[in-house]
Amino acid sequence: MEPMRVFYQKTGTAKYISHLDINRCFQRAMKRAGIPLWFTEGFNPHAYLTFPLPLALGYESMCECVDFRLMREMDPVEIVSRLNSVLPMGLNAYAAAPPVYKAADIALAAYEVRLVLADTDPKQAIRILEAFFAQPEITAMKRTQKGEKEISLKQYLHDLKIRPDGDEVLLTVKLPAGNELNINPTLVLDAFGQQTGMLIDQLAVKKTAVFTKDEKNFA
Amino acid sequence: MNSQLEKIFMKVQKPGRYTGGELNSVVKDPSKVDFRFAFCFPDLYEVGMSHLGMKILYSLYNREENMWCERVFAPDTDMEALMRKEGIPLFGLESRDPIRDFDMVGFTLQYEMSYTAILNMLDLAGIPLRTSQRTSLAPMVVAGGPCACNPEPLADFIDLFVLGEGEEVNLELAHLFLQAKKEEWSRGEYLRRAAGIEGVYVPSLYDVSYKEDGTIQSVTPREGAPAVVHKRIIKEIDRVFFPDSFVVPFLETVHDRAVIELFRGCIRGCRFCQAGFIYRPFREKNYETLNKNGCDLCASTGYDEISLSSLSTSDYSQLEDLLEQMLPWTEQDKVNLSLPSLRIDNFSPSLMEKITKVRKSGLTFAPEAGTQRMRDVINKNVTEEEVLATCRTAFEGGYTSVKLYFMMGLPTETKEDIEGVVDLAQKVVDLFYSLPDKPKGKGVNVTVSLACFVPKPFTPFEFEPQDTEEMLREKQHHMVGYNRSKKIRINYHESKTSFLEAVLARGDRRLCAVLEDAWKNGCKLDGWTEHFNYDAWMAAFEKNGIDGTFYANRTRSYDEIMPWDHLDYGVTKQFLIRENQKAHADVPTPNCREKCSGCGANCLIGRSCF
Ligand code: SF4
Repeated sequence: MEPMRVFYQKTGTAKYISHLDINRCFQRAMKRAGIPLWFTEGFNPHAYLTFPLPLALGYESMCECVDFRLMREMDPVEIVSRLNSVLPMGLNAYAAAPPVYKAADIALAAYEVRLVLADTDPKQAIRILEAFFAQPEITAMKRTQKGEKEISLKQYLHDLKIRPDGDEVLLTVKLPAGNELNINPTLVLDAFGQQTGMLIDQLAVKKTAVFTKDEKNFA
Repeated sequence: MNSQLEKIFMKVQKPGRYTGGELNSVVKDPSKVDFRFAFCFPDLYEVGMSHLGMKILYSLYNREENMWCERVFAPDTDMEALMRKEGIPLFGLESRDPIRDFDMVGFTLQYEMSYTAILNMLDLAGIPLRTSQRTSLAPMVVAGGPCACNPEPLADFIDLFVLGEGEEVNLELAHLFLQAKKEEWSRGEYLRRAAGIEGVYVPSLYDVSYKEDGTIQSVTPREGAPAVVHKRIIKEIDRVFFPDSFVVPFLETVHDRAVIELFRGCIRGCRFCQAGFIYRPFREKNYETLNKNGCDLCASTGYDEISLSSLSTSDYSQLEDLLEQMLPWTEQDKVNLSLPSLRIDNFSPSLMEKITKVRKSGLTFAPEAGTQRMRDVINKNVTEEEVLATCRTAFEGGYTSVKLYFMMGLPTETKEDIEGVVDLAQKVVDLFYSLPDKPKGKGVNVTVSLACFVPKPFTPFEFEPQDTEEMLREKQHHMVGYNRSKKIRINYHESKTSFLEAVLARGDRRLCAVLEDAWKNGCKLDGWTEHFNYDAWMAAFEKNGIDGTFYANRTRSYDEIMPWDHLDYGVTKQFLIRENQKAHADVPTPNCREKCSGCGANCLIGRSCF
């Protein structure tokens, strides 16, 4: 019952695989790869895969991970290469190791957001974005289990940078992530859109790193 | 088109239906292939991806180096609205190229209620709806599948139909198309030559004339087309192509599992069942071939379930051998076996043990009718004792819920036959409570699922009228009122859908206009209750001055020319008439293993069946 954590990228078409579907997809990939997953006992045995930080549908990620247990030891390098030979396009394992941190240790995630504002060139878009983020107070509506709740965003925007990149605007930011409080870039940009009346014409979000409370890379 | 698509993918429900990129999907370099085929399933992704025929043809084409087959499904309404708004034509999932630029666009005809989806998909693709409006060689619009046995309601829209099994004839059509491209034939020339291939029906090469009373006067072939088109079958079933991998969807589909095909055809001859006749003769695969098929599929897909598919699983003569081979490795790899369409009458305890070893779930049986007389009429050779004996085995094996399938509106049906359904269900309930070793602390659930009988071509009931809506509703009410038990739940189907099925199943070419108008009135996903619009259909009938009851509720005489009489599926009309007469005399027919009834299907393999 060796615990193991595999890190993988989710890019291209794979970004449209929902969280629920990614679970099934990995179950099958593990089976094809002949990775000796540990199964629950009982009448309908199944393997437990857990995903420490679920990714929103439509986001790409350079740093996803999945946790599971092995029936018997297997070299992490072997696990990675076996998985890569059977994973569908857009899913790419790059590391495997016994987990260092618990899922509950996750505190922050870094994102790269590429966007185009409708009928606005990048320079002008950057001015509008900067003005928005320079406000002393930014509020957003967040959906919680108990319905919609107004939250104040400003305190949660870490290392926000905005720069032009070709025809697009590249925005990088670190946001709270994990069980306690999870803020997605979409939430921030929806607030931007609603409050400025600007229409976001193109939007691509990529998660680039996940950190613990003391800003260590989640491993 | 790609960046445009990316934008709309984010706005629709379940984008995974449209993105492609699934495991084992095949992407080729378009500049290196000579023939591109769009396999269109006229329903949503979740339904289409569950279909074995698509998986077989997909692999069959893609195995050819110079051919590329892609998948296409009917988009859901949200996706369709966005595609129309942004001007995105229907595309193949693999390349995202518009299918109007493909060489061949093929539809599979699995059920009548998918016909409007075909028109909608052609329109979304930007392909002219009617054969007569198409001018260039490509795309050639073809169709096959069970409903191709009476394709007349689609005759104006489909260039050619493939009758019977597709593994050989599809490649023959593809090669003929390659020749046509090279030699720059017109589409008329291609169709004329295609009509010479056995199993290919080109409806535009036949003239149909009608009598005063609306029945068919004659069907006359033109330009050298054969007077009778014979369906194709695979003679050596054990050597037929079978894929060693399936595309594995990301989304959950209706049947998301590996499938092996035990045999084709059926020995039973239940008189209402079209599949039992049009797939004749019975041909089974060797258990070793099947075990290998299953092994290969699980290895390439990672599926944890294999379905043993056929019309009547326990008629497979090597079932015990097959399970013996499969159980060790499936158990070890935690793969579940599922045996759908298991018949009630030869469900032995040892077989039972083998199945429950792997998984326990609800059991389903299909006695189809409530009284012995009615079962004799439909030739469902199951007795009440057998139903009860099987339920007993099931209950003793730990099952507590049973689903029983029945039909109503069967030929010669009386009030007693309707009450007999409930009586039988009640006997199953009583049986449960009478058992000393019934599962402890649990009650029993018997679900009665009632379908409305739809008379189909190439069955002994092709001559029969369907009960009218009022008759069916009355019977449903009577049955529900007759039931006294809370342990019995009765589910019945929408009779309006069954009526349309009955019209289309035995319809002729005059329905093409109705179909087109129904589609124009907004019908496009008729198989889905939330999209089904009966009034839109009725308006289409009215506009064209066509009375649906002529097709659904009329008795045909034995000498009437049926719209499908120029198509040959092996079983002869004389045989169907004989069987119809026996039905009216309450006389059953032995199954093919017991005794050959001379249906004629053995001519297709040129020997006796057993
Ligand atoms: S020819 Fe005889 S054995 Fe063969 S399918 Fe017909 S009835 Fe059955």
